[in-house]
Amino acid sequence: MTTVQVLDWISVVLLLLGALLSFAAGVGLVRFPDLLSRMHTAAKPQIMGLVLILAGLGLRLFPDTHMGMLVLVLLFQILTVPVASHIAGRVSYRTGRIRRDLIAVDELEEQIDPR
Amino acid sequence: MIYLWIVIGVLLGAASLLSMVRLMLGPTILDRALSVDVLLASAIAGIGAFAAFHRDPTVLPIMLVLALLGFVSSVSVSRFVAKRHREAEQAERIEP
Repeated sequence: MTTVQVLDWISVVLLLLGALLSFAAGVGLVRFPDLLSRMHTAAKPQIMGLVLILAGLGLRLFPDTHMGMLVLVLLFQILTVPVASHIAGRVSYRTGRIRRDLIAVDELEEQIDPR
Repeated sequence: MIYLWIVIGVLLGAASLLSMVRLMLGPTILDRALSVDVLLASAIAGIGAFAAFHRDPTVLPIMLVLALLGFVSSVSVSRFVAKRHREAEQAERIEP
């Protein structure tokens, strides 16, 4: 096997793992009971799945990897995903759209002042 | 190897379909915004798999734009929900 073939096999395995993480997020979105646990499963493909997909893509494009572009995609995703998750989690907690019976420990309730 | 590529495509398509199921069912609007986020992550992964399959780097800027602007929808929906909640609370405080 030549070097390119070996790199192709590695990249296919990495892409397969990334696709599996995406699929796991889809299953979790349908099966999990409330918004906070769905946010937990939705975060997996957004960062880890993207890392695996970009690594596989870079290996597949090997002699000319476009490394700067791939790193920029990952950097923008890492910068923007926590903003969206933070605001969604905060709003869902403050407006009471979460299921209290599923929370084991709620440290935020002691921190914010009761109305 | 072609079977592995088919498996990758089927997994990404199934992920998109499952998040669309949540998009239709979702009890609150925040659930729907979250499922749009997951749909977008699946789209980025699918475009990456397409580029890897064809060894074609021309679609990389699309991934860049999706990664940069994908969070706007979720943030604006969350802020809209928070604003409406605050207005409803103020109306309750004035009414009785």
